[in-house]
Amino acid sequence: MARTFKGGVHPHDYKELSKDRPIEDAPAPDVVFVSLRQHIGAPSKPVVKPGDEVKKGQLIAEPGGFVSAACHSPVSGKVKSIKPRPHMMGTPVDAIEIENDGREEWAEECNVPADWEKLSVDELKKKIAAAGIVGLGGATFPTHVKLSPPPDKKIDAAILNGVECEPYLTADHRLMLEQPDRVLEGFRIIQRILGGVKGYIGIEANKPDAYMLMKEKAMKYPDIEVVMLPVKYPQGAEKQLIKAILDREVPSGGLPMDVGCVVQNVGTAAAVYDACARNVPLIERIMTVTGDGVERPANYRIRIGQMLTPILERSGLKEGVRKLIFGGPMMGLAQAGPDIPLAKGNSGVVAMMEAPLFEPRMCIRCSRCVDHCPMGLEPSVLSLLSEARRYLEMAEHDVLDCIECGVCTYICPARRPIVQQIKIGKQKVLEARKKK
Amino acid sequence: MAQLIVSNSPHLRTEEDIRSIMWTVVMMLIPAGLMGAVVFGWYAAFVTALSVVTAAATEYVCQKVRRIPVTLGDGSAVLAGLLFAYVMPPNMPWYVAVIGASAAILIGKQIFGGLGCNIWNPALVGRAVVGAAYASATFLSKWPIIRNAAASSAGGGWFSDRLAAIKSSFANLAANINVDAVTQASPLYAVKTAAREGFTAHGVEINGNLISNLPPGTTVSDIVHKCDISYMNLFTGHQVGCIGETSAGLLLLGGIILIFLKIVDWRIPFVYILTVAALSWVLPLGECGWFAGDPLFSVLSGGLMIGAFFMATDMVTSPLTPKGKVIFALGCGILTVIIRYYGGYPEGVCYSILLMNTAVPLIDRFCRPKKFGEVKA
Repeated sequence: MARTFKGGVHPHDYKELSKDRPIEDAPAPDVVFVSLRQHIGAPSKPVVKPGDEVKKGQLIAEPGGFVSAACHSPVSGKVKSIKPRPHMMGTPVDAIEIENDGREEWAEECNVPADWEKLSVDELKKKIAAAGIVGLGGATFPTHVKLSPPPDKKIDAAILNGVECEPYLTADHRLMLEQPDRVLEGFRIIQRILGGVKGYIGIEANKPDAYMLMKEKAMKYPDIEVVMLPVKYPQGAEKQLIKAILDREVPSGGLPMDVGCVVQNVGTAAAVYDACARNVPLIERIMTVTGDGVERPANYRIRIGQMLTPILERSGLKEGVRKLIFGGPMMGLAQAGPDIPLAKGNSGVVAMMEAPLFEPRMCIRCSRCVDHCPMGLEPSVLSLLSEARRYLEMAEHDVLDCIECGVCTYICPARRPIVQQIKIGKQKVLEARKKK
Repeated sequence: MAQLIVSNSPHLRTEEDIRSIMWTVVMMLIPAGLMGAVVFGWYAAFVTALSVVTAAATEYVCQKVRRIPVTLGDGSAVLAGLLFAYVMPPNMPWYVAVIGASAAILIGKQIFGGLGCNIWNPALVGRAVVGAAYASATFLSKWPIIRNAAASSAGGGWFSDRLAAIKSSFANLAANINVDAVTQASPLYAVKTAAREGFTAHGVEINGNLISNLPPGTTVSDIVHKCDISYMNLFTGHQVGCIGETSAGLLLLGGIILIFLKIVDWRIPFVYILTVAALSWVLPLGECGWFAGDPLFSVLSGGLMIGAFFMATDMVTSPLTPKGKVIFALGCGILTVIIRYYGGYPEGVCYSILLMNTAVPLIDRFCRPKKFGEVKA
């Protein structure tokens, strides 16, 4: 029986636009703006000031707490300013502006090969924390935190997420195809840190080439199993992926570690490899630029903090583009303009020529959302409660379990903004709980 | 750069919308309606069209009065009008079509706030209103005879026979209104009456056959046979009945296509029909004993097919979860057989669905989906 999870949808994936485009270097930036808020948790604290000379890979901001991440300079050059810059979440956030001198000089001890197998688990964790690695699938949770489960949680499986279930995006696909060893070594480091646990690599059936390659490469490691999964959104969501691969259900309100799992994205694994085996911090990543709004969809190696506009120009952004989405079209954030510095979590940019506005109708109780909700909720009921501003009743209907994947809204024939209404309700429920 | 639209995710939508769902259902109903026109003549087509137009006009007026966007294009009013006509006899007077179809929209739907807000299936509300308002009218109990039914069922010149019927159907308009002269009992009524009274010495006359002195142990199937009812005619639609109910086969075909298109959840028709088949076999009808029923006859006759595939499956008025749908369909099946066997009406599909519609909020409350990560007790 095919391994999968209950619910979900299968939209056309549009991956054909960019899946055969090899990764290319984005144009080198003249200036970068490294945001201090590129991860979940406390913002980073700058350790440089305007006027400082910095080298590529040099620490420029340290973690602002345990759940936080460090930032490094993606170029060599001079710090110009630290002030609020546009941010993909909408409100400006402090960013460190660095002028690129074009010399690409690495900081000391950076870009030096290391034998990670000789390092202890604690040393590996330290390296990962120092490299400022966060979940590159888009959630941007600091990786070193995820790799440090409390001692009472017994971890017996690590899952590498190569699902890339969002339509359009092909960054992870290209990464697996072009740098399988980097990904695999990174995953082995993760397995080792978690105590030599069994590893699973989940890849959807729409990437057969990546599946075959990873399977071949993983042959020599008996403790790694590569799993082909049927194409279904949101299979890349942690809880759904764990259910699909291991048939374990993360309890409501719990974390993957509650069922003995840690899930990491393939891009994160590659960054872990860079940190532990090359002493290179997270200063670049792979990002897809695609959609019918660009002439030449492509997969780019971008520097963290570089501006999006020149990359869009390189891809041939069309006149009259109507929507610019950071991330995939199911959960991504539509932007008001392209003048935004890229961050660690940017897996892709989708430019769309059409952005239809939908006229919502009354719920016709077709039950599509109930049948397809991967969390087993009743989105239609939640939507109606939210509309009636009966927010607190939404808690009884388990609104807090919603993973905001947007399946309900995608599938709704009445074109209701269900997940949007649910997000409002979630916020209200959380606010009410805080007051208590 | 042109103005960018900033909206919340998801930025993709499925193709299917209310409009495509409703019009697909309408399309799947057309063959059965054409069969009705062929069997009963043009007048049946005329009152069907009149119902559809009335339903659409009522929707338009209601939405104009309420000053809300007119949504005739979504096809839901057309569908309600069509379904109403399909469960009415072909000889209903034109004004009954107007009253019933407007009641379906006005009382069945708009009074609650329009599509999505109604509790009961609008078409069946229209049918119930007419049933109450014209309780003693003959057109609800006496059915226009199908011309040369015996000859054509014997296989001779079915098409030429139909052609003649169509040609003369407008001439039959008068006969349609003054039906007492040429009427026939519906199969359900015939069998129910025969099962109740056919065991006596004086017996009962059904469509020209005197059925009397039935021996003990006679099964419903024997009675069906004695009443000259052919399963094949029930399947193809060559029988007396409501406009859209005649052909079980065409309704089954449309229903199965809807299941494949995922517009209809298979659970409702499957469980509904199975329940009716099982109960009508088990329960005693009239003087026929236990386990003497005729499941095939029960399934093919009356409004079960249209009810199970097109009425009980109405999205707005059926439960949300798979479990709820099964309970709902089970209830519809039980009530249908109870009304058919022991109630005052020969057919129970309409009221059984309306009653179960009423129970939907309750069913929904107790049949919640299984939540992901629910802590196992």
